[in-house]
Amino acid sequence: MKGILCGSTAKTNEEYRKVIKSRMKIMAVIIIIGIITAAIGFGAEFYLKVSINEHMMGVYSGIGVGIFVAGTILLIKNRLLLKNDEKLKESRLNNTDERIQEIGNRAFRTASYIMLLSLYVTALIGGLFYQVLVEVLLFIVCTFLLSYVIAFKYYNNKM
Amino acid sequence: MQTRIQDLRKARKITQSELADAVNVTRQTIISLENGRYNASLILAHKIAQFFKVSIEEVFIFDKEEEKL
Repeated sequence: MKGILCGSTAKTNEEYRKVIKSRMKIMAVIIIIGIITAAIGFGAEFYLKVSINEHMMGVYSGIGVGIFVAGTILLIKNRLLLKNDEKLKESRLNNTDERIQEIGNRAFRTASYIMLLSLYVTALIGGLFYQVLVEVLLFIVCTFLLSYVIAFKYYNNKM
Repeated sequence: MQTRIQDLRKARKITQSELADAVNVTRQTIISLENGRYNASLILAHKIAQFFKVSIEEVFIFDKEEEKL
C-alpha cells in the first residue's frame, strides 16, 4: 500500500535492495503467522482439544488463509523487484518520495480520526446489547492513544 | 509556494522525468512543485538548486504576504 507502513530512506538501488530483503524476511514471518492462524481455525478441536463454534473456526481459517495469501503475493512481488532494476527504481522512488510520505501521513491521520470515531460509535451502540464490547473497544482506543503519547515523547527526544 | 522550476527546466531543455530522476523524486512531485501545490523540504530545495547550479532563492519564491510575515 503506497505511503503506509512502507517508507524508506534508501538513496540508491543497492541500499533499497537491502530494505527489500529485510521486508522479505518480514513477509516470511507473516506467512508463518497466517499458517498458524489457519491451523488453529482448521484443527483447533483436533489439536488443542477445545471446542470453538463453527462460525469462529471459519473466521480463524479465513483470516489465516488471507494473511498467508497476502504474504505470499508480497514475497513474490519483492522477489521479482530484486530481478528488475527499472521496477526496483520505480518502487524506491515511490517509497522514498517526500511528497508521497507527506500524503501518507495526512491520509493516516484522517484514517485514524475515522477509526476512532467508528470505534466510539460502535462501543456506544453495541454496549447497549453487549457490555463486553464497550470494554474491549475502549481498551483498543486507550491503547492507540497511549501508544501515540509514548511514540510522540520518543520522537520528541530524538528530534 | 511559487517556484521557477518550470522556467529553469525549459531554458535548459530538461524534461520533468529527467529532473525527477536527478533529484530522486517522482515526476508527480516535480509537477506539484511547478504548480505550487507542494512545498519542497529544505533538502529537496537544495538538490534542485544545485541541479540548476543556482541559489535556492532563485528557484523558490518566498512570498512574505503569503506566509503572513
